Amino acid sequence: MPDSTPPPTDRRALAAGKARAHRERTRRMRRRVATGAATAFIALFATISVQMAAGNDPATGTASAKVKASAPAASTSSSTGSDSSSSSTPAAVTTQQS
Amino acid sequence: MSAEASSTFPCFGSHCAVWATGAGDRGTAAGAVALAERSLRSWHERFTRFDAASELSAFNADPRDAVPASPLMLRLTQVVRDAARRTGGLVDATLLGELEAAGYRADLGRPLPLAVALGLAPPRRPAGPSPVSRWGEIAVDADAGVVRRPPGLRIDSGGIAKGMFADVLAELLAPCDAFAVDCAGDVRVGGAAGIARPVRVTSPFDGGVLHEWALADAGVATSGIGRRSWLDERGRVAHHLLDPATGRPAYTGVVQATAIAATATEAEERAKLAVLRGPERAAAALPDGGLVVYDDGSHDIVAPRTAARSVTIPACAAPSSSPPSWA
Repeated sequence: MPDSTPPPTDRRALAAGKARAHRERTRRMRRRVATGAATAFIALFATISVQMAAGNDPATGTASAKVKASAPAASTSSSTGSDSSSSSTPAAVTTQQS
Repeated sequence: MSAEASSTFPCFGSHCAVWATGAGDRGTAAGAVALAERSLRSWHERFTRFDAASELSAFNADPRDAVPASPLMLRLTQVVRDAARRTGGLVDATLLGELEAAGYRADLGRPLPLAVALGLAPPRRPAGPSPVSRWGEIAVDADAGVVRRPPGLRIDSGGIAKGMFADVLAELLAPCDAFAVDCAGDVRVGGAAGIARPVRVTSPFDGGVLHEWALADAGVATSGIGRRSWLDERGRVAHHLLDPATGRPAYTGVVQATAIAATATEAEERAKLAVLRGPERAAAALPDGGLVVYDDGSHDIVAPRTAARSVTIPACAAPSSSPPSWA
């Protein structure tokens, strides 16, 4: 019966190959974890940014006034001086005590 | 929709603003806005009671029974008479003597904080008509171009004139696709394209937006006791909305009312009426909808009694025979 045990040089090569494969697998796993973490962070950050821009502050847990009723696009209550401008949608007008 | 031209400028002791788009073959929207601004600045000079040389001051000081008047003065006196008649004498612009006696004789500085003024105010009660009212003695003869009234009867342009000016400009701006005139808080929106525009009302306490309507064709006005208030010579708190029954500032429990109507003139009249009537009957003064703010800071949004939210304005005669050129 032939001897199936590899010679010492082949054993070393086999061990080196296994070690290389192990390192490669470890590197792939680290890369996946890093990519996933970065993606999750960006997604969370973007969600919070959108919520903040819409007037909902997650820190306080309360929603401010509806966008429709906040931050007048054009109000006559606080303007000073004379100004002329143009826009493409009808500006909001604020009625107030005269 | 094409670009909207606009201008905001100081006027009537406050600020005015005009927006317009799509002026058609009469010129540009910017030209229409410029014409409206020139008109408002001119009317401010003609109808201020704080300038002895103004047209209004000259009218009030005229010793004749029949006073020749310009078309706009004729219209103002007619509006004053109509407002008093329609409101049973509550909206009475002939109380200028009482207003001056209360301390409103010149442009006012900063108003008292509303909460402070309310704390100093007398007990609340609805206003009533004057037992010696004189508005019924005004007669407008448009054909002769004269106003007949007893010498000494003076009128205050006040909010009712601002609403009227917004309506006059609406007649000029009607060919535009869309326009809005904010005459120191009295608003008129409209336009040939029927485009709805957001119209907001703010709190007299903190300036926050209380409500917003989308209106294509309507007048909207707000009246209240927060913006023009002061302490008189005896240290009494005062403001410019008088109770005709007493000739003193009215404290009814309503601090601000906003009215929607076909015209800004009518809206101004209704808003004043709602404040003067007090909480119990304020809403009944707002048949086309509005908003009432009470002195405890709460408010009610009044729904229109008709289904439609946009008010259709009846056709108005143009103020002059020839159409203006805005180019």
